[in-house]
Amino acid sequence: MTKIKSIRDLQSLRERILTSRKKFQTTLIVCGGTGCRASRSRALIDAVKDELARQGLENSVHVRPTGCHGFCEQGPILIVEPGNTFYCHVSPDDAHEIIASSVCENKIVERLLYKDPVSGKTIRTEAEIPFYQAQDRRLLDRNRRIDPCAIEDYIAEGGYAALAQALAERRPRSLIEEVKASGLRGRGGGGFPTGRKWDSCREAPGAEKYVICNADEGDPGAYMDRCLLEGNPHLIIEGMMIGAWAIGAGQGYVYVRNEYPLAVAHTRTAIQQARKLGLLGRNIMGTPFSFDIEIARGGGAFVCGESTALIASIEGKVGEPQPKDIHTVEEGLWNKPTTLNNVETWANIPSIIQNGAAWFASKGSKTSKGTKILALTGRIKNTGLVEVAMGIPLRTVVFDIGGGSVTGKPVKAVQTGGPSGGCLPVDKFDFPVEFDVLAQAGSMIGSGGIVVMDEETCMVDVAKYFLKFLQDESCGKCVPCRLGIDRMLEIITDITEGRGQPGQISLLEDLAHTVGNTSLCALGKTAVNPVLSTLRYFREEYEAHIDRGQCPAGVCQSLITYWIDPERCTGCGVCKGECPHQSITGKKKISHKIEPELCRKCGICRNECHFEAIQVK
Amino acid sequence: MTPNVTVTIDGARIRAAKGTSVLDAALGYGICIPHLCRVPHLHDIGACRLCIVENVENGRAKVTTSCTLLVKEGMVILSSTEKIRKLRRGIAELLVAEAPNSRAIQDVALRCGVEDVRYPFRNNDCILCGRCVRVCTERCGVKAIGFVGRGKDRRVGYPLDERLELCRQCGECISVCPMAMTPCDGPMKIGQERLCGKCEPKMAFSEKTPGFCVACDLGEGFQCDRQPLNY
Repeated sequence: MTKIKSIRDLQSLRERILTSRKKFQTTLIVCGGTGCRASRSRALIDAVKDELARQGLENSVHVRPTGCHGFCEQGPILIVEPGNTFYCHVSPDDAHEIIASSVCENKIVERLLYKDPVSGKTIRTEAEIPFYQAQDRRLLDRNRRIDPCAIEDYIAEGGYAALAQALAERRPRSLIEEVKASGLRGRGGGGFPTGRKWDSCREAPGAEKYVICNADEGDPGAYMDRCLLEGNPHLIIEGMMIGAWAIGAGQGYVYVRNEYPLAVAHTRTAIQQARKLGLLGRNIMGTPFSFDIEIARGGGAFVCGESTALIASIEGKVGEPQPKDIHTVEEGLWNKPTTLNNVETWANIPSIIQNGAAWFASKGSKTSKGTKILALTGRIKNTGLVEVAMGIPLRTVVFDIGGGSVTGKPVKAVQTGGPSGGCLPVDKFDFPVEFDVLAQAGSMIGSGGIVVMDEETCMVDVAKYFLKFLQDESCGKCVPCRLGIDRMLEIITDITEGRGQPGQISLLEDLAHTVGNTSLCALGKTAVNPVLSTLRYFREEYEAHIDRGQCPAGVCQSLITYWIDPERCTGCGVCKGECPHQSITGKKKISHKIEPELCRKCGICRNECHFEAIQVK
Repeated sequence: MTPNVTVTIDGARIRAAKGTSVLDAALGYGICIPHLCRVPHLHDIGACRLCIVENVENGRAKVTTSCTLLVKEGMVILSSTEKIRKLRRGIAELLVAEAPNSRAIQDVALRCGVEDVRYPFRNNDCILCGRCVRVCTERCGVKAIGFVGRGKDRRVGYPLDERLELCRQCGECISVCPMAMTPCDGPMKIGQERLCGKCEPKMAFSEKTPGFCVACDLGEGFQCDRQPLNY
């Protein structure tokens, strides 16, 4: 391929690619995201290719391995185009049948179609699936149309056209105004207006400036950044290029954690391809704009998602936050003005430039515009990535898209925003998914992780889990974060292990106040949210632990006892056989008993019992 | 000559050279802001968080450490509000519970008004203020010691835990270590840690956290340059 030397070159390349693709009558889209790879989608792709070769169909059927589609619960996913037939849980052995009937004979393989767990109906196309229906998939929908390792796919889909438009027709200042007008706010958690950040960076004195893409995603259960980088790396590169042109930067960095090998590999391939085409380098598309991107791999420290720690890490120093009295837009990477945005923020830029600020702002609420990708996990039927217009109620996300509780027990709370966010009870589910409202309620959107919890989740235990995570991830530099989180964990551990004292709730609140106000960086400042929000909405659970020595959800081992309901027990003996501590006694067909002295409360018997006879109190 | 700027700290208009930290400006004027990890003339990292102040900008007060905050024309700083004192007390309580076996830390706790320690005591030898590391790196130019590990496993140590030839055993690190000052009654044994509080009568005022310098005897713990007055 020759280098793109002008905007006309890009257009003609796109036309050439589209013409060459016309020979394909059918396209098989196979999800190759990390989630589907874990369920053998690579073997599936190979099997499909082998099968096509055997039948001599390589030249008329195109196989496109793509990034994540979002519905990870149903992977591996295979879509047949045209017709958009959606197959889920496809195994490599199904390749022959799909090609024989769906491709050659235009028949549908009924058994691989999606079955809606709520209505029980079989659904043929993606668009009809309730999981997808309530979504607004502006970013995620592009994943299935693109092979992340093929720049041709991205260009064929209209990629780099926004950059061409920005370079040819727009002045940098007008780009910033457009982003400002769109109301785009940082998707990494802070929610700072992106346009204002760019503006300050452009205004900051200095000829040398940098743009950084923050892909150091570390919240437990959140993987939207990984999905975007894996599935559509060129989109992020294009967004960064537009941003660099707007603020006057000549060098960009993608800071991605090395635990995301696929994201690193795809980004690296994408950068190489863009360089080869002359889309990165000197005088891009014949304009005075020169720009290049490097990948900086992180060691997977959660704290390196914090801007100053991330910058220190790129510089080769220890990834520890610095006091932020001078902002990074003035003195960032190597003390030069630096714009640091999240992956999802960058991904939104090309479409804002191409379609205009009004188009972007047409979705969303008054203060939070556009769409947001959420990672839906926990005790819920449909786990996966969902993209929704901001401002839709949590209820819609949990029940309409997520399909409600998977265990059958009622949903009790959602935890939004990862370790820095908080828990919201079910009566707050009418709150919109929006920066300010959730922050006021004591939680936050954060990067967009949503963990759904049911009645069998102990909220004190949840707070303990997040504190443990934060204690492990704290850099240890400042006193309130290092010692404060440690002490909070100590107190909460006491409470969950039955050593709680009456004054400890107020001590916890006091300590949380100190840590939240005085910590050096956002990790410590927000570390108290899981504690404060659970104290605010689930105080009675704390009180039950301390005053009555009970765990209402039956989770905290020291506070519960297992017993067998004699009315339900049939004496089948399954529990007796499975108990690793031989603590269950009883004769066949006569109700069994658990010896409390021997029981280690592992819960195996409860999982094995078919009659729900084993209960916790 | 470096240009001067005027800042308002606790209502006092103070002129300070550009590039000075708010903490230095306040201490120079006689406003007492407790601090621990600061070593004069070395760069500040804001680790102990004791020197927090409220920086009022556009009507909004932001809590930040005064050692890392540089003076700016027209800045308004409040160093001794009710909120700041309470937060400072919280930090001092964490510190003294972690390492009660130091006169410096006991003094800090007393100065910040800690009356009662609500956490179980631990008898740690180090509070990771990083004074030794910075002295070794910046004043001695040796870099023989540094921080090892992360979070609760963080400690000060040699690279790969082996003493380097580089370390000349000059002892500068020990001279700035707040833990090197044992309590007046000698070291506390494990299980016998307590809030000392013996120096309480030495405070010139019944209010333990005055915002201005009372030329107290506790300066040693803070490594305050001011000499106590002899009453």
